[in-house]
Amino acid sequence: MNTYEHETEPVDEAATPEKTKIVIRLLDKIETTTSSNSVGN
Amino acid sequence: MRLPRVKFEHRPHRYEDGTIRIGGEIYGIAAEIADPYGWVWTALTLMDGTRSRDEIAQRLRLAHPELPDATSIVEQLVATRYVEDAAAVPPAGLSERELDRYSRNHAFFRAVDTMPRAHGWETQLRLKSARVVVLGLGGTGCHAAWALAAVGVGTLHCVDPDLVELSNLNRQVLYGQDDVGRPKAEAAVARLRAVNSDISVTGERRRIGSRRELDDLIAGYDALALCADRPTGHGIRVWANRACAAANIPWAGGGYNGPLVTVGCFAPGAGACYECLSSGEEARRRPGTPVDLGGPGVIATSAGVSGQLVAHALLGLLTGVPVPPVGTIQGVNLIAADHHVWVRHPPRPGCPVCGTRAGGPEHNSSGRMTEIDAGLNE
Repeated sequence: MNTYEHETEPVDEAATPEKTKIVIRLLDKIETTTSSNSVGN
Repeated sequence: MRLPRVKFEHRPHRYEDGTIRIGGEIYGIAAEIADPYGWVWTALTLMDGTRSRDEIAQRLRLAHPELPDATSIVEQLVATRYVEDAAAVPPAGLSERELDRYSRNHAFFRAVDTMPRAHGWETQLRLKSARVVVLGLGGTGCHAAWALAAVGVGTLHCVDPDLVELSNLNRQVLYGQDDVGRPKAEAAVARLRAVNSDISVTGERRRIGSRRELDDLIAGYDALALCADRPTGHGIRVWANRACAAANIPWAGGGYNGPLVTVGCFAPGAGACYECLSSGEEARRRPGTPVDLGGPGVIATSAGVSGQLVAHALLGLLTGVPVPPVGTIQGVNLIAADHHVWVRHPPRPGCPVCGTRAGGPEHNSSGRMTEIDAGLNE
């Protein structure tokens, strides 16, 4: 039952031409916010 | 993926400089994509669940004739956590009632999952096939067992030796006044079956008095929710640490010391074990300082946070969603909002439970764990 999966890089740099490589950068804590529109239902 | 669609919760926004924000505002999900030519934005806009990957690439080429490889853009995006398949159908392993009951689970797991999935119900299916022992049905155990039942863990076995007392009712959410004097295990099973009849709930009135008894209790189960506190101190936790390591199953254990609520999350072969974390904390303690085991003070909120943190850790341990903080103790101090507990220590070399494997191939997280970030900080 143990499953440990980690986010994979969305891009294989060796296989993808540099010009079409998408770089997805997870934001840091300081760049994100606590939710100002949370719900409670 | 037949009909890619950007997940509702992750719908993108484009800033004036062309940068794309995707995944909302929450740390751990939100991300930015540099998109100086507008290719990604166009592709994301086309991913509304009405077009195939080929159709999206074709339209992308028409919109951006200079784009060298439109197919690559589409394939990279569908491999991310932000896109789902609008053509996916729910799996046969869940009934119509379960699909309705767990619809909010599905939306939550879809939002926090770091992996692209075929239909998004994979996490729920893993929970349905999971078998968990909840040991201890007091303040922590009641809330943990309720959460595990409500979220849809398929098999729960609840164990406690005690009878319900009136003084339990300030925090032990599975019992009512009519249950006073009744075995906790019996009352808990009845309540949990009423909460969710789509799962199997069993229980027994039993006190675990030795490591061997714990070995027997968890045999055949996938995980342990340790919510008992006897033998006090490290006693029951050391038994759990060793029994779960021997059985090769993960466990989470929680509790409170007054307003300080903590939960440990452990899995054999991944990160430090409980005894290594405890040893690391002991080394930080001023020599001669007595161990503070707290007193009887507990309220519904502290017990609730404790049990919910245990249940949440187990969700991650059982499914990988969210990725569990294995080999750590985390928690909150309910009287100090700026005090976040986050304890990490490396496995001790020679630890009979985990240290002998330090550096081995199964320790794929050892690099992270060597960064000693111990103590009650942040």
